[in-house]
Amino acid sequence: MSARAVWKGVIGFGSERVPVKLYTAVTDRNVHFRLLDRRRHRPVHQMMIEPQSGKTVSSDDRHKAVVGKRDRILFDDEELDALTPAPSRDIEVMHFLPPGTIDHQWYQRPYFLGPDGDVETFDAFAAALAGSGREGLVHWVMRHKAYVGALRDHDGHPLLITLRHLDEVVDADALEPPGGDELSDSEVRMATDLIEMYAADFEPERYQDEYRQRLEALVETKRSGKRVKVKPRRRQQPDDDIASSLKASLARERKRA
Amino acid sequence: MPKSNRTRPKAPRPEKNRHPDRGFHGPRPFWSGTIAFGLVNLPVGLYAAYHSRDVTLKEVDDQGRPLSRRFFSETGRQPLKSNELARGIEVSEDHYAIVEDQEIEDATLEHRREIELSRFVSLDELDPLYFRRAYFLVPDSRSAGRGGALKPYRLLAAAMASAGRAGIATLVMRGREVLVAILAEDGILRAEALRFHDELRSPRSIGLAAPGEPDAKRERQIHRAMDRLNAKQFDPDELIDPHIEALKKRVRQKRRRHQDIAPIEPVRSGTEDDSSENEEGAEVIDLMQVLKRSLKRGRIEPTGKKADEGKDGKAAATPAGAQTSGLGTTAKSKTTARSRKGTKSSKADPSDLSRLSREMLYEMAQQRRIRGRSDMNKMQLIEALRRGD
Repeated sequence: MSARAVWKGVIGFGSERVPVKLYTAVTDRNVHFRLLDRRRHRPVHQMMIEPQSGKTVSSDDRHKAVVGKRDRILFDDEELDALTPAPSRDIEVMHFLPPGTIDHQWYQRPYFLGPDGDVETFDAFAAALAGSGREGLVHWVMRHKAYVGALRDHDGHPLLITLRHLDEVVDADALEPPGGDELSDSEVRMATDLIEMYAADFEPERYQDEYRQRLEALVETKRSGKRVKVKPRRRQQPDDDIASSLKASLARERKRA
Repeated sequence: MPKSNRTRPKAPRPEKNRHPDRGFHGPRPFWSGTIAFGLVNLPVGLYAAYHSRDVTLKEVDDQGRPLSRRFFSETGRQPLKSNELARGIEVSEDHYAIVEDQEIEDATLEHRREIELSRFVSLDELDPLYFRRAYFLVPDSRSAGRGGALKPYRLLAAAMASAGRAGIATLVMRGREVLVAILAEDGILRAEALRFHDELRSPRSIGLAAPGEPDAKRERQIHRAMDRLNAKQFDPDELIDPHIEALKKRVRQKRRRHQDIAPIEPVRSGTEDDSSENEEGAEVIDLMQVLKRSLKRGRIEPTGKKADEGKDGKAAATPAGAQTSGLGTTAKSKTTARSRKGTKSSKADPSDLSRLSREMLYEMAQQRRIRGRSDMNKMQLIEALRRGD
């Protein structure tokens, strides 16, 4: 099943122009419920009311406000429109950065890129991006919103990941790691050995979203008009001396190996 | 590896607290429990690594009075009360079935307070495509053995850094299993919640052909053009949202000119509203401070018994918050692990969102596309819904 592009743009750097289509790389598989009128079993609709009077307020009489501690600052639609970034097809590359420079903490939503027309340029660009190993930092405006993104190679396919804005992320660099006495070399070594004993491949396909599966089953049952019931159990235990625990863990794993 | 000791602002000491038993009042961990690494147990708390945004637009009337959203039946003129609402699905075209909260709750997984860390993958094997949301791990000595949680925390961070590996594990958060990659960076442990495999598409499933063999000359041309934009360092200022900045600037302008300003009257105390109590009583602390303190002391400070508000409780300060709540009268709230911790609901207020389950509130937040809803606890959801974001 081939998917539809969500947006079209043109990557620009220097005098180069690479027309691309964006395809979302993630799918929303969550089960979504609708709010219903319990008695009528019908979807509800929403309206804004003025809480004191309880009167509904039509969209013509509504405004937007920024709410501060002591005041609200009102904005009308024209004003807000004027502040909205102007529509554009340009995906402007600001820089190309060495790999790893853009920390993962900024990553938000990935899109695969495909050619939009000029395949020759696209292929050359894909190859150059993969060959350089670099990540492009790009700016663009999509559906009235300004985005910053990382442009990178993903097994030969160019990938564009939207980045979170600065004010949304807790800056890890501003945090101080826990301190204390020097850790003993032997303990660090034992812990590292234990990690190596536990070395594994990254196999995301091993994991499943059980909750979602149960919800899907629930929805299915509802559709067929039947009834559901499920429930599992689990447990845990505490600990004290790290060195002996590590030693015991290593012994256990070695025995297993 | 610990960072060089640069000068840093100290986390402000708690001010004298009039209600010492209440402790400080700040964001709570989204999850707390124990990392089991071999036979070593490390109690931790997880905090989302994100702030709520500092400027948001809310719906108001022409007087600047905040509006709230209500739900109406197709024909009704009166807003539906919370017990007149239900979640449901479309079973066939234009036919709907109700799904009861209890039925959804039965689908949730048994809460598990353990993260079993027994798979470590090489860092370069981790595909960032999977990264969905980040959480900081902070050590929590309250339930640790006599050595406290700091040492196993530091040890694990140091060992993971030296092995160049990340732990892959699952945990149960709010009834659903979350796959996480635990990474050590500069002595701090971070959990990246990962997307499930079937939530990702591949170029092939999208129908994208692999890029063809490039024209060598054209590729060199493009490479040269790219090289001209090479930079060594990433400047986080690139991530400033120009739209928000423009909005902030206009706000400042309007304040200066006293233009389009609707004042908010000071909060009347004596209402049963929890939030005003919080304002006066417990110390309100932001996420950054909570993280700094917990990392330093190796434990999560006990919070007051109240659920937390937004990041600085400022929403709670508006009288509007107290008055614009809710949907109508009582709905029996299904007591979930979360809602039990929630606020006592004010008996005086008949329209009370706090009587709805978190799941129901979440559904409402989803319909209204409130940002960051998945990390909000019940109280935060109520606040966000009240505000009419």
